[in-house]
Amino acid sequence: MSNTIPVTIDFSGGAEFLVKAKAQKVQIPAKSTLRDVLKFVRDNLVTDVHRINMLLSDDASEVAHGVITLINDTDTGLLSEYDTVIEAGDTITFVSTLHGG
Amino acid sequence: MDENEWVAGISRKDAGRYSRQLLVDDFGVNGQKNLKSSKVLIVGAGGLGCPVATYLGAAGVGTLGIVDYDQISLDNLHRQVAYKETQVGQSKAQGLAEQIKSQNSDVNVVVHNISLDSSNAVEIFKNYNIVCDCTDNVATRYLINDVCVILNIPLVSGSALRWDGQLSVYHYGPDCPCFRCLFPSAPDPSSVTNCNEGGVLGPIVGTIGSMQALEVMKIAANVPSTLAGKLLLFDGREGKSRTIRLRKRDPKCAVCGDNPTITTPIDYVVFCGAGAHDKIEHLNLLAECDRVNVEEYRDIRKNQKQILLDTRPPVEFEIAHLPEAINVTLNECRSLPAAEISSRLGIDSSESNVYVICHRGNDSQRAVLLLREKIDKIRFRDIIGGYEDWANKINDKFPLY
Repeated sequence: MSNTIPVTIDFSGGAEFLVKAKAQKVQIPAKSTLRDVLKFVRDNLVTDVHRINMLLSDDASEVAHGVITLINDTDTGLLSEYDTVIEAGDTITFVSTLHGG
Repeated sequence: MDENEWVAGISRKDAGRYSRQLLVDDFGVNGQKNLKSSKVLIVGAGGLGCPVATYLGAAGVGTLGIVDYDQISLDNLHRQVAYKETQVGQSKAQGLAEQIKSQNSDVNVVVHNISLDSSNAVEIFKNYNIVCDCTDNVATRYLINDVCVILNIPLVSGSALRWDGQLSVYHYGPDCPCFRCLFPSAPDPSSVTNCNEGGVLGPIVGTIGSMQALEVMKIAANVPSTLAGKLLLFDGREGKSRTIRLRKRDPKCAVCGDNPTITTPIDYVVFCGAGAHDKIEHLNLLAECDRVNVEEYRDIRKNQKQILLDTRPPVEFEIAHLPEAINVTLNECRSLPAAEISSRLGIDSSESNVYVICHRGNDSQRAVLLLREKIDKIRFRDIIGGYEDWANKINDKFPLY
């Protein structure tokens, strides 16, 4: 049995249109970093592959400009950014910034 | 003691008018006086600007500046609640100023009926001590941010789309990030949806605009618990809001960092790859022979019923469509196999022509390019200008949106 942990991945601000569901509980490999989660999202959650540039860079090494990533409602810029290690039960959020008014 | 003597913190007139907010702890007389001496600039007199201006005017802000170059249109009224039907076609900045003045004649209202850009922003902003970003496009958001940092003015920034709103205070206090600390690079223009395309509900901009006015009152009154360094996310569909902690000011930020490279406004259209408005694009992707105008299509369908593929999202298809239209969205044109698209359209072997229509004639061209690759026996042509042209040139009773 592979060693996995349960996490919630949710999407807000328009990013939810690119994926199966606005919030979903998934199993990811233990000791994954945020960088690994980006690739997991690309490979497992994104359904609208033609507009993936709204969420992730071409090689899924970074989020697209205008997207903030949160772990448990904290900007990953306050954590270890892409090197932040994900723990069981974490909620990882992708927020697309809005510009309308 | 003399009955004609007393110690007053505020004039009798203001005490009477603003009594209900004077009674609020942590606001009080001091907050009221500070608000009265504040000069607040609102950039964008739209869905956010209307509630911001309305609440700040009513609350007794000293000076209220309003920047907007646009005119009031009928499709603004569902969310831009300061305007009346009789004002359609008039200046938004002027219209909002009149509304504020009629509600509270003590407010000094300054109208800036101008398109904000790098050449005029510093001159306008330097007369104010709090700025509200109520705009609708990325280029202007970077311009406003940079000028606020350059002039050291706190920025109360709101935005909204569909069911969602976002709100933060930038460049307020030593650790507080600016918009550019969070987003050093502008988003790809093709990934930005505006209210013209995505839509927005009035109470969403109303909620966010009202909260922007509240943040201004907190800054003016020196209430410490502002949204500086935080981002409030409002999900109106679920009735949820949450406030997240943002990263601190980036010492390497190009504008608010320790060694800034941006010390005067730059060219934001170049920086963002997109203009300073949320108006509509007009693409030209196809050769002339692959396009028909609405008059031609009217004549073609008069003689014989045609197959018409409508690429719009279902919510738009439901507003109105021509009776022969079959809804296959642009995304479905991309992702569905050729056989399924053919069957949805009811194409049989005798068929050789399919027309493609959308709202304004951009997505229909994109769809023709995709469909051509998938289904090679059919000639796909798009209808220039889409339903908008149909409504404007063929039948003005067609519901335009």
